[in-house]
Amino acid sequence: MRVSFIEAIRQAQYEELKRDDRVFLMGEDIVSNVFGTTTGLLEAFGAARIRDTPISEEGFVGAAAGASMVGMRPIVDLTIAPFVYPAMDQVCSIIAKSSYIYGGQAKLPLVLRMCMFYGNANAAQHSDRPYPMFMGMPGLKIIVPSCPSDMKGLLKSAIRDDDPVLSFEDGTLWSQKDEITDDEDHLVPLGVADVKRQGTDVTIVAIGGAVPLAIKAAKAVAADGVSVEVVDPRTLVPLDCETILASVRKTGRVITVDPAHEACSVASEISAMIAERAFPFLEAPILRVATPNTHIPFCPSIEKVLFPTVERIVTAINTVKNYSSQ
Amino acid sequence: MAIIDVLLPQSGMGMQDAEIVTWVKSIGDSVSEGEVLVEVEAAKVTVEVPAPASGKLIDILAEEGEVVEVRNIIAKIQETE
Repeated sequence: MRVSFIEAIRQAQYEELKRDDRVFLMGEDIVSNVFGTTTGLLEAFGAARIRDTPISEEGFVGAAAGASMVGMRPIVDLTIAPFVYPAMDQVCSIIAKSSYIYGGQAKLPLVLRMCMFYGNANAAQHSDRPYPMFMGMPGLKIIVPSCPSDMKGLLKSAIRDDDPVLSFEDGTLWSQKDEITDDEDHLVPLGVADVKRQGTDVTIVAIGGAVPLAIKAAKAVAADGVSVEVVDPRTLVPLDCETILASVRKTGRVITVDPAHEACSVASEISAMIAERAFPFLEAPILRVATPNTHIPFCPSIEKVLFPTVERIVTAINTVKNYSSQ
Repeated sequence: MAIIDVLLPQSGMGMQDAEIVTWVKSIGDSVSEGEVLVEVEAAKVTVEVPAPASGKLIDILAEEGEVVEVRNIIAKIQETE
């Protein structure tokens, strides 16, 4: 069946709620179904398992942490990613660390879901892409799916995972449609990257909403005889370094594309990892195509140009392709 | 008499685009400010787009079935005084 990214989220939640009584959903506007990810869930599972919360992120994220420690498996819907900021202490001091500091005696099988709006005139406080800051916090697994089938498979795996998992859902992908399987036990494992397009001349490692842009750029340069491979990590923690490095060894020329701000981006971390582990294979410097380190304006005409575009990716492809150390 | 661009409004924070479903008004019709011009579908929700001004609908730039990004021009109205 052909479903949208949003419908893939709904199906994953529905199937896992049906499969395991300990799974429950909590967050703002869950019952009113503000984004279309909970259609039919209240009717199917009841108010005890489909719970609206007050606008108190620190409170309900902390409550989810506690619930998960005593045997429940909450899915917390944080609506949009910047809304996690009031809950940072719960995420970083409790959720990330409890299993470690209690010597494995605490288990926190929860999922924190949040979507990212950007490029859509939602202004500075509602356009953040904060996944890199959580990549730097040990104890949190992170998924960044780029298509409906990965979204569904990864979210199902995340819900079944006994560790805390953060799901960052790129809003620019919401209406994208994809063929997905009917099999309710089809999972995409965490920690496994996917080569979305095979190529031989240049590797692009692209994060989330940058994946379809990278594929468009690859198609644009194919006309000039440049063969581009697009690697989608799909999971940031644990990161599948080996799939990325195998591509780098093949092409020797790498670009990392990330909608997050450039400083300490996932693009930066992956670039450093490649430089450390595959330097002898590199024919050119590793280029990052990310968002400048500036706040996002409201005005639509000056906002869209800040994020990675097909044009900027094509420029970077040509730069690494033509690079010569002479 | 000014020509007013009718933009596809972003009616939700997450709305990126919408499909034109039904043009309620046709080229040549008189329209009043606030009257429904076209029905669009964004993420499975049908939204009515009202006329931003009164006048005559003189151009339609997005056909039924087409998917249009938010804030794109979908029609033009020649304003009456």
